[in-house]
Amino acid sequence: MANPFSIHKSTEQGLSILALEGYLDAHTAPEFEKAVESEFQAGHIKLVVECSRLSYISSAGLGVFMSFIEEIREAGGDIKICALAPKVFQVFDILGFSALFDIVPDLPAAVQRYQEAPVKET
Amino acid sequence: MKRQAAALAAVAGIVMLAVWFGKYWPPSHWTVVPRVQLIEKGRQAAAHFGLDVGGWKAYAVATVAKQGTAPLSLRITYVAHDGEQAAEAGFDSSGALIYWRAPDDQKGPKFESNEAAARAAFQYMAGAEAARYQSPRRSAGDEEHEDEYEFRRMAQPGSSLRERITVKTKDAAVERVQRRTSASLSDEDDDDDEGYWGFFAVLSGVMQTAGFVVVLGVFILWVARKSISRRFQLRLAGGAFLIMMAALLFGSGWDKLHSVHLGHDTVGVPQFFTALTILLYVAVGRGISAKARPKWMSLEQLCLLAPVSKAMGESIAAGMLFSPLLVSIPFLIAGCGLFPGSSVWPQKAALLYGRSPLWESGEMKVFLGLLWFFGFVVPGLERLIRFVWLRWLILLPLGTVFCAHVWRGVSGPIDGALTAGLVTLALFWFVWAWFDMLAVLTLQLAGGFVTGLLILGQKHESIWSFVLALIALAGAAFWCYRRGQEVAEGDPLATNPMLTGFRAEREKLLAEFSVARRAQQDMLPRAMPEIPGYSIAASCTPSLEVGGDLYDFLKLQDGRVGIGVADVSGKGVPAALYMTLTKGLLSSVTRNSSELGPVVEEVNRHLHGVTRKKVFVTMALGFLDAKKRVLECVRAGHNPMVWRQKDKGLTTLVTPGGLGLGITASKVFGAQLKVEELALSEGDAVVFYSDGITEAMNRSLEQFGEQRLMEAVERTDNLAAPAAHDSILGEVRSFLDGVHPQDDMTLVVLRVGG
Repeated sequence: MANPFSIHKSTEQGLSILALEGYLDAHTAPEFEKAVESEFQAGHIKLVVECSRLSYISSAGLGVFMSFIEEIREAGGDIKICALAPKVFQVFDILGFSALFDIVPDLPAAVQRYQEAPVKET
Repeated sequence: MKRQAAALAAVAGIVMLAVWFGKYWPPSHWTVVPRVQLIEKGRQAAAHFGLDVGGWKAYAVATVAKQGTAPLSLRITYVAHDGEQAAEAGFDSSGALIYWRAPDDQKGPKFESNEAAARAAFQYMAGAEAARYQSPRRSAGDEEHEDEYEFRRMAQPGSSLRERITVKTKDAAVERVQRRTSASLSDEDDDDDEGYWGFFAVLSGVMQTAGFVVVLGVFILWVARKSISRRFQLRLAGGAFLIMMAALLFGSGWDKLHSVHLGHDTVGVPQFFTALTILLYVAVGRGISAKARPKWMSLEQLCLLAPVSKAMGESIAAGMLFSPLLVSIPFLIAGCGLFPGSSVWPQKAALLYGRSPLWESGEMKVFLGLLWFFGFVVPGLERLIRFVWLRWLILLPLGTVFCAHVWRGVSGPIDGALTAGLVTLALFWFVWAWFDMLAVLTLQLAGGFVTGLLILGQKHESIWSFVLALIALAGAAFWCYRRGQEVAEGDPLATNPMLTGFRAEREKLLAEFSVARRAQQDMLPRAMPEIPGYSIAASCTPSLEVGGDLYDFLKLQDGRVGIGVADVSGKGVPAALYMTLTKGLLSSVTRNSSELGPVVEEVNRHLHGVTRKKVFVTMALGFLDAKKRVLECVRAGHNPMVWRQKDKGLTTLVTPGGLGLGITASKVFGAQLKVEELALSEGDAVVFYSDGITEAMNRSLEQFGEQRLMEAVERTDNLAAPAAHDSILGEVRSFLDGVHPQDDMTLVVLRVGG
C-alpha cells in the first residue's frame, strides 16, 4: 500500500515554505530529503516546514530534519516547523524535537519567529 | 467496473461484427479465392506453358507489400521433388494470373519457335480478350535464342490505362510471363503510386528503424555497464546476437522479411523476431527504469517465466474481450456512411493464401509498433514534456497516423482511414490505461484470431485452428486467474521481477537473511534475569527479516539490574546494524558506570560519533534496585513507559524529558535528559515497549495507541509477567486482525511480586 505524499513549495517574505501533505515514512522520506537538499543547494537556508496536512511521520521522516539541521544552522539558516497536528506533534515531542527545533502553531508564527530568532538558540 | 466494461465491449464488438460483416465483406477490390484453387490454377497455366508441375510441392505466399492503392499479389512457388527446380505463379487480388516464371534450367524446346511459345502464353493470359491487343513488339534478349514479346492494349477506349503482357522466351520455351497495368502511355515502367501513404510509410519505417536502433543501443550499454548476474548476461548475450540479426533484417524492411525464404517458407520467421523484440523491450525497459512499471509487470513476468499471477489472467481476458470491437472498427467506419469511398481493407489476406493461416494472422509490424508506441513514445514524452495538453497534442496525431498506417483497416479517402486510426488508437489507449501492456498485445493477437475466424469462417479447413487458438487464449486467461498468485505491492515479485527470474539467487538471499535474523535474535537475552520478588517477560518481533528493535538486561556493578528497550530509526539491514552497535555500547558503558544519566550520555556521545546524520536511536532504560523497589528511568526520545500502580488503581505514562540518541552531542542532550524515580509497590507493573506496539495499524488505519495499551496493562493486574506479556501482545494481534505489522514490535513487562 503506497501512501500518498506531496510537497508544495512557496516563498513568503524571503522564507522558503515547504508544505507537507500525507504520509512521511521510509518510502516518501527520500522525496522530502531531495526537496530540502535542493532548497539548501539553491541557497535558501531559511526554511519553514508547514505540516497542517501531514497526517503521519515515521522515524525515517524525522531523520530528514536531523540530517540537514546542522549544516543549515552553520550556514546561518534554520528549519522552523509549524502547524503540526496533535498526533504528529506527539511524535516530534517524544523524540525531544521540541528542544532541538522551533515548533510553532502556524505559518505567521513561523515568520515572526524568524524575526525574533533567526537561528534557534540551543 | 472494468470487468463489466470489458464484457460490454465484447458484446458490442460481436454485435457490430454480426451486423456489418455480411454487408461489407468481401470488399469490392478483393475476391476471395482459396489457396487450393489458386494452386490448381497455377498448375493448369504451367501445363499451357509447357511444364508439368503436377506432382510438385506448392507453397503459397501472400505479398502484402504495397498496401493502399496497389493490388495485393499472391505467389505460388512450385518445387520439384529433387528440390532443384522451382517455378512461380503470381496472381492478383481477383485470382487472375499475372505472372509466371519457369525453372531456370528448363530442358528442351516445347514449342516450334520462340514466337509460337510467346503466342501460346499470350493466348492463355489474354483469353477471349486477345483480339483487342495489338500485335506484339519483339525485342531480342540478352542471349542468343532469347526473345521478348510485348502485347499491348488500352484498358478502356479513351482511358489512359494501359495493359501489357510480356512474354520472355528462350529456346522455344516460355521463360517468364507478366501482365501489367500501368497508368500512363509512356514506355517507362511506372512505379506504383502510393499516394499519401508513401509519406506515412517512410515516416513509420524511419521511426521503427530509429526506435529499434535506440533500443538496441540502450540495451547494449545496459548489458555492458550493469553488473547483473552472469547467468542472465549469458541469457541476454544469446538473445542479443539473434536480435542483431533481426535488426539487420529490420533495416531492409519488414515487407522484405515477409518474403525471406527459409526452406521456401516464411512461416514463423517474423513471429520469432517479434518474440525476441518483445523480450528486448522488456529487458531494456527494466534496465533503464529502476522503478517497477506496473503496466509492464504482467508482460515482464511472462517473459521471465515468472510464476503466473491473477493480473496476467485479467490482462489476457481483457485483450480477448476487447478484440471483436477492434476488428469491427473498419466495418463501422466503412459502413457508417460518413466516409464515402471508404472500404474495408483485407489486411489479413495472407490468411487465405499462406501456408499456415494461424501463423499469418498476427500482423507482426503492429506488435512492434505497439511496443514502440507504449514502451518508448508515451513514457518518453511523459518525461520530456511537462504539459499534459502539449503531450497529447503530439501523441494524438502521431498515434492516429500510426494506427491508421499499421492497422490498415480502412482503404479509400484519407479522412476515413484517419478516423479509423483515431478510433483504433482510442481503443488501444483505453485498454492500456485500464489494463496493461499484456492486455494491449493480447488485444492485437486475439484481433488477428477473430479476423481469421471471420474470413475463414466462410469456407476453409483451417478455421478450427483459430477456434482452438481463441479457446487456448481463454484457457490461459482462466488458468492464470484461478491458479495465479495475488501479487501485492511491495512483493519482490512486483518490485523486482528480475529476482523472480532467478529464484535460486533469491532463495539464497533469503537464506542469508534468515541466518542474520537468527544471529540477531541470538543477541537478545536468552533467558529472563531472575530477580527475587519480580517476574519479567520480554519479546521482540521484527517486521522484516531483520529489525532495528532491541531489548536487553544488564547486570550492573552496584548490583542493580538494567532493563532497556531501544529502537533504531529506519528498518531492515541498516537499522539492524545500528541495533547491534547500540547493544554493544550499552553493555560496555555499563561495565564502568552504574549511574543512569551518565551512562545514557556516554552512549549518546558514541552513537553520535559513528551514526550517519539521519540515523538515531531512541531508548527507554530503567535501573532497578530490587530490594528498595526503586526503578530509575530515563527516556531518550523513546515512547514513555507504562506504570501500572495496582494498589492505587492508577495507570500512568512515565515521560521524563530526553532527546533521541545520536541526534546531537551538544550540551542540549544532557540538559534535556531527566531521570525519574518510580517507587514501586507489590503488584505494580512497568511496561517498556517500542512504537511498533502503539503504532500498530489495523485495516481501517487506526492505531493501537497508548490508551488501548494502558487498558490492556490494567487487565493483567493479577497475572505474573509472562502471562501479562502474552495477554498484552495478544490484544495487539487481535487488534491487527491479520494485518502484517508495519514495524518491529518489542514488549518488556516487569511485575513486582512473584
